[in-house]
Amino acid sequence: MNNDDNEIREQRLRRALHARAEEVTARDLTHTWGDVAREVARSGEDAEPTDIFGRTRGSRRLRTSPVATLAALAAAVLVVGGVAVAGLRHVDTPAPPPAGRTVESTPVAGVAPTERPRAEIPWATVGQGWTAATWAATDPAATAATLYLVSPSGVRYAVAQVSRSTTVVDVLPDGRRILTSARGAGTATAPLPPSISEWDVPTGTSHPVPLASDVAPVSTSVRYTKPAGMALLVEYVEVATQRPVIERRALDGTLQLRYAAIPGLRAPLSVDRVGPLGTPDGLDFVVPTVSGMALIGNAQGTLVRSYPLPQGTVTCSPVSWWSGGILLARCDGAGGTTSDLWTFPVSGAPAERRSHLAGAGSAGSAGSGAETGAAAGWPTPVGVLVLQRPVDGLDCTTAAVSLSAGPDSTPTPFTPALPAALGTATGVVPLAVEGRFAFLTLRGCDRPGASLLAYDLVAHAAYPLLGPGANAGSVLSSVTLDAGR
Amino acid sequence: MPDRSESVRHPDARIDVETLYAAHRLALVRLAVLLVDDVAIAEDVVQDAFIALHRGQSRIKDPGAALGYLRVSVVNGARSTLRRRRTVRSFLSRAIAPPDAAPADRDLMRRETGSAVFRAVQALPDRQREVLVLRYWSDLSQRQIAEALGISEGTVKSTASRALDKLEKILEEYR
Repeated sequence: MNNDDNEIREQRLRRALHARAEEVTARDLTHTWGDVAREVARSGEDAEPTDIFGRTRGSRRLRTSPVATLAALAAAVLVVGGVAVAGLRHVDTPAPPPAGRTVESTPVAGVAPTERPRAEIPWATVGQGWTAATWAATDPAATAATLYLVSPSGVRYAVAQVSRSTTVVDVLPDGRRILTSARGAGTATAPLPPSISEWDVPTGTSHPVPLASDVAPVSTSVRYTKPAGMALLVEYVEVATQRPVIERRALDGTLQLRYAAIPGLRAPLSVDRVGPLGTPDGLDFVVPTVSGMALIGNAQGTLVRSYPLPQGTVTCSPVSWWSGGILLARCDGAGGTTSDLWTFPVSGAPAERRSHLAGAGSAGSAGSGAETGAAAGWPTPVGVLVLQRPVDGLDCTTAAVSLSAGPDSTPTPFTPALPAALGTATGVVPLAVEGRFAFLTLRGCDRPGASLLAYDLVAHAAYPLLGPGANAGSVLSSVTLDAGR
Repeated sequence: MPDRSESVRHPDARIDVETLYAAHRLALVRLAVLLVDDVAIAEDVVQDAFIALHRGQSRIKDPGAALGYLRVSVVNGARSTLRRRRTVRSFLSRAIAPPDAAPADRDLMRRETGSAVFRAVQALPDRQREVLVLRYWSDLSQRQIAEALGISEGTVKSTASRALDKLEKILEEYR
């Protein structure tokens, strides 16, 4: 290896280290000098006998980090010996029940939905299956809505009062911060871009997230970067060029990086587009292109890999992640009439069709995506739960959700069995799946208001969490924590 | 801003730990992140380092060396943390199959992304990672690294060379 090679690899290493290090900003730090001073003052004269290099520290932790907690838990298990450890996501829970889950974390028959103060949120159990939602009374005169964090068992914690036009667009995996979008002011013919806000759930406070001034008032996508939500990944259409732009912005809206033009990037105009889909580790994101999809490096915006269109399809859009490094995408068939679900191994191995929806629908306009077909899917113990369009169906006899038994099979209609109080449902939209439970929103055919509920796919039992069946009113928007989002 | 009213001064204070904290905490957390790849743990490690310095400042003969002491403390703290983490993982992998483990795709995708270099650094042995991070992030000289890690300059040089070679091999495996 010559000197040039050495220099190149050293520069590459230096860049990689700086890129990772500079992801950490002062905003991410929670300790203060006061913590140091208090700790020293607290221990006083009996300060632990360490040297200044900390080589023989005590076990005190200022903050319980996941790994530290895991260590403590493992140590505890070692002590008691032979005790099964389950539900590791809840390792912060002081005394987990044998099943590893608290009543808060699992839908439980007989637990009535209830409201509790925000200060009582059991943060250690917040995770998969928790939902951030806006809810309002069905009184059409009401202008306000409530932003809630809702547990899988239906305990709702009011975060703040918001306008009725506010929708939840993203929530951090730990539930501590929520992104919302409120419809921009303006008129029908001259709309303004949406207003983005970030909510700090523990305090119930928010701050605006200003975006670029040249944002078209349509199809703006704002998501937290993964895995920790240290920044925002924003996609919008630039008014001047009418081209899609992808940016990474700090949580206060400050521009960090405007990604160089991605060759063939498709404009975010298609139905059901989720915007750039970050990989679970946050190192890359997937976008749709005219020739398929592209995996783009988050740090510099470089193309990592291309995923060509499967045969017989004309467009593909990323939807979510399945476990095992599998990207789920919705691909429109020739003619743009019907879409199907395809899975793409992130490694670039051949894609596989997961649904086979025959029949024609109304043709979508070029580039806007098919208006019928499969839109999203979740593996469950009873098959793949497939969301189909149109979500609302043509009437209350059309099932918008189906179950697919295997790859390339035609899904069979899925009709949730609902309590009599909820009547017949329409507009069923799955949000997430956790084990045998699917989290759904749905509307009644013969009553106002939309519900959020947990549905046991095996026992066919519904547990209303918010809205009709729980606290009346209507769920206006919702995002359920799901590792695949 | 730190709350200066809460400052606790050692009677013989010769080191302004509070000023050091304000000036260098973020850089030290970043150093720790490069060693442990976890912001929360990195912050804990750095906080512990400042507490140890604050408690033991009377034992430091050269106040100008305080930053160096902090850096060494962070490296040692990170190494201890990684050791604990490995012990836990080793136990857990034998004892149970965690139902909520990280998605299986995480490692796969890490191997296949543009940030593979940093992932490869994380795969190095502790000592090799420490040498590379102190050299290419902290910009320390061989002598400073030797002092920080308590090894000879010759060992620093040979460790760095082996680390760079290993890094290339790991990256080759990823490709």
